[in-house]
Order: sequence, then C-alpha cells, then structure tokens
Amino acid sequence: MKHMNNNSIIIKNLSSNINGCSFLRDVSFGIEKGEILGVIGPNGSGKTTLMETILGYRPKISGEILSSSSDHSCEIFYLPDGVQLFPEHKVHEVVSYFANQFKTNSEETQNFLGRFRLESHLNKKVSELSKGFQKRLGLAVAFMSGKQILFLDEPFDGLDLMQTIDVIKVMKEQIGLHHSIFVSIHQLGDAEKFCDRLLILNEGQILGLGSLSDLKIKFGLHESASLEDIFLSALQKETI
Amino acid sequence: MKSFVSQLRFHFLGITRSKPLYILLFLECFFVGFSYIQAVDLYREASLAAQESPGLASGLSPFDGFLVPLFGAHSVLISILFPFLTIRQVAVEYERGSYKILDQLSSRGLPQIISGFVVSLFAWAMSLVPILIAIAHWLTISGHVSFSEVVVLLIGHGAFALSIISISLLVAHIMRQTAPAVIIVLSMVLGFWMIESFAGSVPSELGTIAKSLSFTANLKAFERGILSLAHLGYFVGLGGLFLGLSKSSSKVFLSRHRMVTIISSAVLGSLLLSQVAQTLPTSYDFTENRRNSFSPAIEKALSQVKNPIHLQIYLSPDDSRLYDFERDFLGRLKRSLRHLTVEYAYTSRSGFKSSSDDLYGIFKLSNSSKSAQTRSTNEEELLPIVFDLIGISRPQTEESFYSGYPLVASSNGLDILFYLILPFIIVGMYFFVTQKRRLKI
Repeated sequence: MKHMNNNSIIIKNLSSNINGCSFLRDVSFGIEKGEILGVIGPNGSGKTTLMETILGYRPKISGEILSSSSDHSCEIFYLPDGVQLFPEHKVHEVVSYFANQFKTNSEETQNFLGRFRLESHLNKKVSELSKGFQKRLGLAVAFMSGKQILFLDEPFDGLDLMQTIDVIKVMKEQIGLHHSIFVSIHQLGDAEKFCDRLLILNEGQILGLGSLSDLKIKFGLHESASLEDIFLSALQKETI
Repeated sequence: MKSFVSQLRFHFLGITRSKPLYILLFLECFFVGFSYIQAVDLYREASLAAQESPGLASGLSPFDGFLVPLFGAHSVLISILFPFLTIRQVAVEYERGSYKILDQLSSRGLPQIISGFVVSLFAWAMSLVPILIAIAHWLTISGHVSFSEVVVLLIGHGAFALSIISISLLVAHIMRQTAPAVIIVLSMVLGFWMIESFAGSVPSELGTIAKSLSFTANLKAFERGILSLAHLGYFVGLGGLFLGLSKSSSKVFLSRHRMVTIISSAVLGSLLLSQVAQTLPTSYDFTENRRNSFSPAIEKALSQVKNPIHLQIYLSPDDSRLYDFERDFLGRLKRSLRHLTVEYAYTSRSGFKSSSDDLYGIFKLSNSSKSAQTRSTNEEELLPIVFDLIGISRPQTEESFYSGYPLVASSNGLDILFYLILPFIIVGMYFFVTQKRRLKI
C-alpha cells in the first residue's frame, strides 16, 4: 500500500501482443485519486487496448498492475466505446437492473438520473434515445457502479457541443475526491478542458504524460500552445 | 440472490418482447394445428372401421393417435427455430459490446448463463400452449387422455429442449455472432437426423455410438412411452456439461487455446456421457396399454434370470422384420432381461451375404449351456423358446386388458381455431407487450 502514495492504480511496464503483433510496449503510469487522466492518440495508437489490457480483457505478456485491492478489476468500471445498452428495454428497466446489480439505493439512482437529465426519458426504449442520451445513460450507469476508478472509452463521441459541455460539467461535479477517471478522447479541445493530466500514446508507446503545462515544457512549446500543438509536436518528434 | 432475481427479471422482459418468440408461437399454431386436425380425422376413420370390426378397437390408442404426432410437430419447430431464439439472447450482447459491461456485474458468469437458460425454458413452456389447447379440445370432444402418457412426453420433450437450449448457449458464447452460431446448431440438428437414419440402417458399433449421441434418437424412447433413465440421464448430463462449458467460454477474452479446449471437452464429454448413460438400465413403461412390456408375470420371471443370454440376429439392416423385431420383442426383452447381449451378423448393406444364405432370417438365442433358433418375430413363438432356454416354465399370463379408445369426432372448426384465432391472439400479445405504456412512478 505504501508504494501507492496518492495513486488509485499504478501500471508498470505493461506490454501486450495479439497474434504475435505488438500492441503495447512497456507502458507505465499511475492514475491519481480524484484526477481525470485523459489518453489521447491517433487511431490505432492503443488507447482501447490499454484500457482492456488493464482490465484483463486482452492478454498481457508482461507488466504489473498495482492497486489497493488484490483484484484491481473489482475497483474499475469500464464503459466501452460504441456499446449499445439493451436497446429493446426501456430506460427505467435498464436503470433499475443496474441499480440492483450495483446495489445503488434509489436516492442515488434518482440523483444520477437527474444529473444526466434522463428523468424525462425513463419510459422510452433505449433504442428510441438519441445517441447523446444513450451516452448519458452509459455514463449514469458508470457512476451508479460506485467503483472508484472509471475507464471511459470515447465518452463524448457523437455528442454535440452543448451536450459535451453539459456532460463535462456533470462529470466534474460527480468526481469529487471519490472517483478517478481514465478517459480516452479523440476531441483534443474537450480533452484540454476536461482532463487534469494527459497521456499521449502512439503505436502502443507513451510519448508524454503530465499536465498541459508539463507537456508544453517537455515538448519545448510556448505557454500559449494548445493541446493540438502538443499532440502534433509529440508525433513529429517520434517520427523524427 | 437479489442480483440473480434482477438478472432473471431483466432476461424475462427481454424474451417476452423478442420477435423470434412470437414468430415461433405463430408458426407453432399452424404446425400443431395441422398435425392435430390430421390426427382427429385419421382417428375418426380408424374408429369408424373399429365400429365395423370391434377387434380393431384395441389398436386405437390416443398416445399414438394424436399425442405423439402433436409433440412431433412441436419438436420439429423446437429443433429448427428455437436455436435462433436462444442464440440471439446471448450473441446480440457480444455484437453490441454490452457483454463487456455484463462481465463487470455481480451476477456475471454462471448466474447470467442460468438466467438465460431459465428464460429459454420459459419460452419452451410457452410454446407448449397450442399442444395444451389441442389436448383440452380432445377432452372436450370426449376423447381419452392418459396422464402418464402426457407426462412421459413432456419429460422427454422437456429434456430434448434442455439439450437444444444448452448447446445453443454454448455455441453462442463460443461464436459470439448470431449467424455462425445458428448455422452450427442447425447443422448439428440436421446431423442428428442423418445420424439417426444412418445408424438405423447400419447396426454396427459405430452406428450404435452415433445413435446414442443423437438428440432425436434419444427422444424416440419417450415417444414410445418409455421413461428411460439412460436417455433422460444423457439429456440432463449434456445440459449440465454445456452450461458449465458456456460459463468457461463466457470470459470476455477467449483465447484460441481455450476455445479448442472447450470444443474438445464438449465433444469428448458428449461421447462419454452417451456411453455412461447407457449403463443406467432402469426404464419405466408409461403407456396405458403397456406396449413396451411383457405381462407383469413374465417380466418378473425374466428379471430373475442371472445367466447371460446372447442373441444373434441374421437380418440385413434394411429388412423391415428387423425394425419390427427391435421395436416390439427385442425392446421388451431388453427391458426384462438384465444380462442380454445382442449381436448383428450383418453389419452393413454391403456385408449382406445373399438371400440364399441359409442363416438369413434366423434369430439365434444361446446361453452357457444351450442354444435355440427361430425365424419368427412373433412374441407368442419367441417367448417359449426363451423360457425353454433359461429352463423355467412360462408363467400364466392374464388376458390383455386394453380395449382401446375409439372416438368418432369431427375436426370442424379446428382450422378456424388453429389457423385464425390462435395466430391472431399471438399477434395481439406481441403488440400488447411491446406497446408504449405510461410509467407509474
């Protein structure tokens, strides 16, 4: 436990390969308690693979995953990208099912439904919800899980600007000191606003890890540089 | 337990709204209805003939006359359509990615699999409704139904459904896509039908093993009114094996090595179960006319024989006399004699020597001290030979008590019931359960 310091989970030298093809190479980082750690990278950089390897959904060939409990996967809730949550069921049935599974009390459940603005959609089938509200339902389920660490794969994908702002606001309120979030994001503008620290991943390797200002220093960029500048700079350096 | 109940409730809601269930029920009305209408008409014609010649009446059994055809039509649909229903429940979660979320719940693994299994059994029970309506109608037209005969058919077809459901669940968890999983299960069902006909024409070791594996061949005993622990044990054992293997294959990451191990375990386990189940000798004749049994006095006398008896059959596999002999006399003899071994002299059509073969058509019975032979397949001629061989006198048997149940009834109106009213109710049920209703909070 001593070595955990302020971290919820520590990943050390994680490597994985699938059918002989290397996907992650010596990845090491920690997720601090109460922080939002965003992972950014081009398509195929290994963002989803990283999350799923940590959870044991993909095989690892080496590395260590440390957490405060013996089975780290018990502390994590993973919301995959593009998941369709029981489209033929009604929203209230899905919510009630997960509330029973996670033993969430009705007060908390109502709270999450209210915060994610799902109350007026309870009687609709999930398939009748817009993509944005389906994402909200997934996020509500993630928070209902009561797990300390949330792994969210592209949670803002498909949301319009207003919905993204709204969801970011709700999630920031929910996090408090009780949750840590590890999130993969494609939209760099959202990542800049939402994440406390960022991990830049390319071809299964970490190119940079730290806060926005840390990354600017690491890549020798001006203070006014955006995350997009950092991202491009990181990729260019790697290419060179 | 609470999470399992919530899982079950959720699965239940899913299946009651699933289109495949209502399509199955809809088609069932036509299949079962057609079978029932045909049965009523044929039974009427046979009963009219029995009025002219009363001796024919004892052959009129509602078991063969309408119960077996009804359940037979049902089992065809269960074999072909039910895998779609069961596989879809599971495979769709893999296709939508929600299995990764289900894997994080407290009810993951076996509880989720058992819950899927239970709701599939519920769907099977719903599919019995047209049969129950047909039985109710039969009773209202003064037809006779033996409770024990209905029970043995329900047990047999329930055990058959159990195996179809569990193998569908296993294949769905391995393939993780609806279409390939359905293709595999349907190929297996067709394979079972082929095995049955192949094994029927080739009474060899291979044929016997193949037949013992076939679901449809194992169902046949129940359709003869026999509750056999061997067949029931095979179905229940397979159900347990496939459900256990479904749990092993429900992990999010399924390596090739694990997949090969699971498939090999399923094949070897099925082979082993089919052989072990055959060592369960107990069977009960549930038919009202005890067609599968000798009279109680003869059964009692034969059951006390301890010395092994060997029977050699010199008939080609496609000879109809062999089929009659196996179904009638040999079936009864196997149920009564504990130590009977049977040897088929002609193992294949190509092995058939020629009709001029002197031994052709002979049934040769022997034990350690004596042997006897006959060409007759008639029980009244065969039984004295058996008793002579075992060296005890044949007990006196009482007269047959079964007088048959002739019924002259019309099938008028049944077409409207099965082809119009019931399908209409099923369509109505679908719209009722899937309609939008206000949520009461």
